[in-house]
Amino acid sequence: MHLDTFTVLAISSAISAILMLGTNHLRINLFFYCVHTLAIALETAWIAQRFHDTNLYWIAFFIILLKVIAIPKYLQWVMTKIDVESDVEPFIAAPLAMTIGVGMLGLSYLLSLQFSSLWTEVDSRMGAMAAISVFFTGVLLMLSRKIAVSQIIGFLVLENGIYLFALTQTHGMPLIIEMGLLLELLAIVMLSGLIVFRIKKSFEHIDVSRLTELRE
Amino acid sequence: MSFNLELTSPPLMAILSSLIIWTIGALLSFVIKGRLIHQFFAAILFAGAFLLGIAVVLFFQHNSFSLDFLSGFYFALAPLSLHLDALNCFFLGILSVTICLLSISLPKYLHYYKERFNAGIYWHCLFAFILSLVFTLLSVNAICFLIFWEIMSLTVMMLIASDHIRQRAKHAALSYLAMTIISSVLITGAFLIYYFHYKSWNFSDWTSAGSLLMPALLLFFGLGVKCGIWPFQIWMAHAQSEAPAPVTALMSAVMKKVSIYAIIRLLIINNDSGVVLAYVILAFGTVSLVWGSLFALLERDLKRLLSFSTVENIGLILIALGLCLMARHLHCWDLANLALTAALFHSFSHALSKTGLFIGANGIEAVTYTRDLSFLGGLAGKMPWTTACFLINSMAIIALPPASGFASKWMIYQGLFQLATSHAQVVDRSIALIIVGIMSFAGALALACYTKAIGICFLGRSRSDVAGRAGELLKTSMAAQFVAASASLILGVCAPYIVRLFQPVCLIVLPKGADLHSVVALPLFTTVLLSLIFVGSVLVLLNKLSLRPRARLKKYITWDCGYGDLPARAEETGASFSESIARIFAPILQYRMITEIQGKDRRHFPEVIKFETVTSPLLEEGLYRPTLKIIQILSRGIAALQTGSIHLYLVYVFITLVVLVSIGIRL
Amino acid sequence: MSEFFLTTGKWLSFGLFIFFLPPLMVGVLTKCKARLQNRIGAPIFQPFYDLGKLWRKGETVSQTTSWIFRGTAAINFSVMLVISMLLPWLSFKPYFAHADLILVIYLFALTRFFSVLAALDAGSAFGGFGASREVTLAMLVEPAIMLCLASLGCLYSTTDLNTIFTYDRVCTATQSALWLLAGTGLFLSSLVELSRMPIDDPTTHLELTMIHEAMILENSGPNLALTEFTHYLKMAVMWGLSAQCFLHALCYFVTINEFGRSLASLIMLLVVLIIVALIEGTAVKLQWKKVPEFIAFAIAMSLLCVFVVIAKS
Repeated sequence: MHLDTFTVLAISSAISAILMLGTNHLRINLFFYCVHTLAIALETAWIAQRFHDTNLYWIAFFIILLKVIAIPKYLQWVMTKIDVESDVEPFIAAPLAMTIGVGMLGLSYLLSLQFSSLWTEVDSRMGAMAAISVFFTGVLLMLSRKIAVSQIIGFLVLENGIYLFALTQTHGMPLIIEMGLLLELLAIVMLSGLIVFRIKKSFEHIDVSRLTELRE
Repeated sequence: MSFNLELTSPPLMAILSSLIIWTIGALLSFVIKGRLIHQFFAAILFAGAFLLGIAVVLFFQHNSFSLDFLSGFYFALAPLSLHLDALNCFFLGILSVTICLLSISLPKYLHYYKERFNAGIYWHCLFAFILSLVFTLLSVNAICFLIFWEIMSLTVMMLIASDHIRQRAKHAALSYLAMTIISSVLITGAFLIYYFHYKSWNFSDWTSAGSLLMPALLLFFGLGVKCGIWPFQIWMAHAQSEAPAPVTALMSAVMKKVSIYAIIRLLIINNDSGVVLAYVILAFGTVSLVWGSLFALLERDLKRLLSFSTVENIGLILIALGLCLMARHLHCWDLANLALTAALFHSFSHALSKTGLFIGANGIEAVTYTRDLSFLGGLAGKMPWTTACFLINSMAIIALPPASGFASKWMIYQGLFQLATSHAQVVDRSIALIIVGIMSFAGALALACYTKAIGICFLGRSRSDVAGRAGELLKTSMAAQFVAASASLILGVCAPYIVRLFQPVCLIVLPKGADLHSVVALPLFTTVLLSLIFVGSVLVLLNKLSLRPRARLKKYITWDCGYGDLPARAEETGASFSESIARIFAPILQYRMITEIQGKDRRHFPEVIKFETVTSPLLEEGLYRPTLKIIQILSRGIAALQTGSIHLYLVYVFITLVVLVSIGIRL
Repeated sequence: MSEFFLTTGKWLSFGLFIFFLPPLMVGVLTKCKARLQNRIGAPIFQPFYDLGKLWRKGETVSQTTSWIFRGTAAINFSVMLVISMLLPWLSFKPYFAHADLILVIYLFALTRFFSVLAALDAGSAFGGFGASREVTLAMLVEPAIMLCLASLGCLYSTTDLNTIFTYDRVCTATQSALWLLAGTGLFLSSLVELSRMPIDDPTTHLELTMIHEAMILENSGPNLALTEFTHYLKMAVMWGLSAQCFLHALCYFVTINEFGRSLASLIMLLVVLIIVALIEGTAVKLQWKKVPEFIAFAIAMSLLCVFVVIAKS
């Protein structure tokens, strides 16, 4: 494993995602999410600089604008409005979840060894490993947490993982598709924020696991 | 009858005479009665063990030896034949050392049982047990092994049930019997498959026995039931706490090692391709390690604590054996030698220290009539020798330098490091490092467990009025514990030299020996020795040079926050000590705390507070009970077939005849 | 002849460092904290005065204690001296002996064994309480320390700490990343082992915050002086080790000669002290139930070390 900028950025995004698993405090989760997405944006910029693709520069800029600044600010506003600081007891305790996350990193390394390295200058398998690990982390976040806001963050991390995989295995998808995805993501998050308000007003809590009460 | 050495050679004479003495003891136990019966038989036991020990030492001086005894006496399928080589000899050595230590500390403890058991039968079973142990170790073919294994199990069951009036002893004996039957079934199944594969009952004909996966797994689990690895450790807690004094120590120290010997003899010799088996052994060893230490921490009963701790140590030995198998697969002979030596060293060191600990625990039980930690405390003043020896023996079990447990654990760590830096696959190397982490975690758990045992038993104030009764029981038991403790210290410091003695054993199991003197780094143990000397000199300096003047020492009560006369029960109890850890592992332990506060205004003026911590054993509730229920339902269903009506039985016979005839016509 | 003087000089200066650096460190730390809280604070040499005062005082010993209580202070002091001579916590340590990493970790466990027994010896509820929490934290943090040091050992294929921490080699990027991860893991574990914030508040003596303080509650006079000095030495050794890890990580970017290295070690130790002061001044003590979450970060760092070292080759 040769450590160049590409690998360092990919692995730091994976590690920040894993660190997100270790705490239930929502603001710290958002902070790690910002760091994680920033690493992905820098990775995009690095690939753009390496392969002289200006489209990727635009994509990196919009990622920073939307995912690092706009969405976290919006989610912070939502959290302040509904007065929620930290998650209720998650299904898998935070320390255990973080250890499982690091285990997933190891598993993704083993998985990524099965691919073949697609680029000559850098080892794209490291990018694949980071992407698969981020994907698993997102899934783990969504599975173990109970609060709706955590589920949103988990979904965002998941989406980041898919994006990172596409980025490192190809040279990024076309500009139109990426823009479309980003805008769609923004719309989804805004809608989810509104729905969280409704859930809070109707149920007085945003604990998703207790929504099974609807059955009775 | 044929012997390789001459009949008059000293080692052979020594071993034969020890066997004869023990047989005489077994026969005499029916006739001799009287007050000094226990002392008399203990003397016979000691004599036999001593001669056995001399024989072992003399055998090791013959650099390479093997002894065969082939008799014409047939056990229906195979003759009674015995074989002695370096591997057996080592385990015979463990046996002799343990019995020597136990026999000199025995007699007074058995008077504690007085009318509750039949001394003659007890001694007879004990001698039969030891003789069957020896013959199991020496067996050459499967039939011999099975017969003596069964005799061993039965005698142990009778010994557990000696205190037969108590209900718990009966329950313990029955659960032990059930486990033993399961173990025998699995082992017999494995042996049968091997016989059909190799067409012979001799162990030496079973080349590469470990490569046949199915019988190897059956054999491993069968021997594992006897070892008490997870998930079969349940019977140990019951049996080992109810059995009388020396039996517990013998079971813990020696019977488990016989299973380890069988694993080495059958599964590791000639096995160069047993990777799956290696993974299985490593997995079960690791789980036993953690499970054993966790459950040991929660025990209230001193002897059950020690028996769960044995599960932990057997887990360590299994990790070493799994490492050895993996190294064989990779053809790293240095690593294989190191792992095997670590396993053997740990067996010996554990046997020694555990015997010392059990002798101490027996002493406590004999003077205070209780094993319950919540009634003990403050025994350090009345039993200083036991405290000091218990401390050093537990240092050996926790693997703190400079005791012997540290040397063997260090070797296992080194083996895992070497695996992690070798050319093995990524999965194997990461498993090695993960096991390193788990071993240090379990080591810290063991530290918690033994500090609880020592702290609650010996230190602080007495939690009931037992301290008045406490006192050192017997000079010889103190001597036995002292021998165990100092032996473990000496072993720990002189490890590089002791390791050389294991060479003949390794040469039998592995095709290529290795000079471990360089691996078990002499510098490391020199450091240990130098540190010991340094620590000692600093201590002497601090005390003798009056830098800490004793004149201005004032004795006063423990600080009690101004509350005044706090009773002794306000101290830390065992349950509160382990509560922090139990809470973290609550899902595994099914740990619950139930609080009930009664009073007019419950929060402000409580009158009665009831607090209860409950742990339920996960395996028993989750695995054993449902299995037993299913078996009972099935048996009831099958029992419905037996109606007692003759006509129905005739119908069964007729149907069977028809079926057999039709099958015969088809073929 | 000059070699002999050089070695003697090294040993003498190292001895001076062992005895004078730890209390000085604690004084600096207290001063930093005070400054952060806009106070003037005690002078830097206050710990020396405190230790001297304690040494001259008389001692009160509980009646329920045995030889373990009085012996523990002396045993821990001597074992910690051995550890400080073995561990390469300063880059200019003269060579003592084969400093096996497993031996060092288990020597720490030995001191913990005796401290816990001494705490239980007095038969007070405080001692038992502190002892129980101490063994719980030790259980959680041992794997972190072991795996951090073990991955460093696997990287250089040895378990000798002197060989691992030597500066006579070229540092690649992967090794630098591993040193950084290991340093962070060791630093977080040291906060737990030494019972500093946010695990335990070393300045208060309330039941809610006592882990270390509860265990040494019964000590007084010279016993307390020895125990306190042992604790200061443990702080110096553990933070020194983390500082060395960070220095090794920096070695990828700059190379320093030997004398500069010694200076850099002391400066890095000062930096670590300032970080600790910042944490102590700003962090809130964690609820006992949340402490495993904090330790999980240390364990995650150590597992990442394992991952890097396995993936490297």
